Amino acid sequence: EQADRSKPVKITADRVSVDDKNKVQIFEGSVVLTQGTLTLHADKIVVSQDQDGFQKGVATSGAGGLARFRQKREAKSEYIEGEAERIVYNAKNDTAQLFNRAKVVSGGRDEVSGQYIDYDGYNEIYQATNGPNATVVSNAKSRVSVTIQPKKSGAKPAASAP
Amino acid sequence: MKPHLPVFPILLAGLLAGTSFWLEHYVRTQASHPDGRLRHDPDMIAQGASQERFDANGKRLYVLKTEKLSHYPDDQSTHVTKPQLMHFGKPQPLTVTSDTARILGEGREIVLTGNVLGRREAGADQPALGFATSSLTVLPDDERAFTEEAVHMTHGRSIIDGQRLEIDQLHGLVSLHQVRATVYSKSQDQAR
Repeated sequence: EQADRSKPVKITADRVSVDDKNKVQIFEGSVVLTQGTLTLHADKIVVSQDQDGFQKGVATSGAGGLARFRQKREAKSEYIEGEAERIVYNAKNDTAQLFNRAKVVSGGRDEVSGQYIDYDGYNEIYQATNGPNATVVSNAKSRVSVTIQPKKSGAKPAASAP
Repeated sequence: MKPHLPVFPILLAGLLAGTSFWLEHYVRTQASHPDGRLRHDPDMIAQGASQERFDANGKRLYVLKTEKLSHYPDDQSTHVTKPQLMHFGKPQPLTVTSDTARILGEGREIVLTGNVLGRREAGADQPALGFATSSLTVLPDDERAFTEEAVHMTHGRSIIDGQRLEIDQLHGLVSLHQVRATVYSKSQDQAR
């Protein structure tokens, strides 16, 4: 939801250590980060903040080695869910970058998976590549796969991923 | 048969006489030169004192300013009121104040109690850090401090509540357990 960006970021965890040398706050143990309708679950989230406040959260390792996020879609009662080995969430522009075993499912139906997915929560656009770190590896084993389920007749077709 | 000598009453009377003799002797000696060592009495009181402590290499560890300082010989402890402890660790000095404190082991351990407020000023590119709790133990030589109590901490624009605070001034690390944090952005400042 677009309003998410204006909300404060809330985090609960078993432990936090404020590391002023590296200028980060390291949250560990059942970490849940929420901002408006977005929730991000992981075992570890490294948060960096700047003069304006929350800047970025890097979430790693959760259940099954994957960090997971969930965010409500704008003006719809549907949710977008994503998972990856590492999720970099940038609160300022409400974008999430998913690295390794990345998957995003929209409304429980349409699914995109690949080695890297860049998800723009504000505009609800996502871009996937089959190589790590947004690289494209030609004729490689790992492929981007996009599944768009047919809507019930008469419903507007979902935007197709590039 | 020889009449049986009443031994018990004689013993009892003897005991009573002995006890009263010892009591009289003790009271008389106490009156002539009272011995404070057996009681928790201060042998030194200082008003508005300021102490500086250095490590073996001459590096200043802390400055401790106090409203009133009382030293007790029986357990070698020092009790102070309104302490202000400034500890010179990295990256910035940490200043802690409280209602009272006890200094044990010749300054190797300082236990601050009541309205404990800690403050580390912002550095070149480090946000300020502040915390409030009910008691804090400081180990100046190890440049560490800790408490088991609940803590309310602020760090830049984050407000973090939790338990079991640990401060490692040597490595500039502060950790807290059972954490609930809120990170505000500049635009939400008035919301706090």
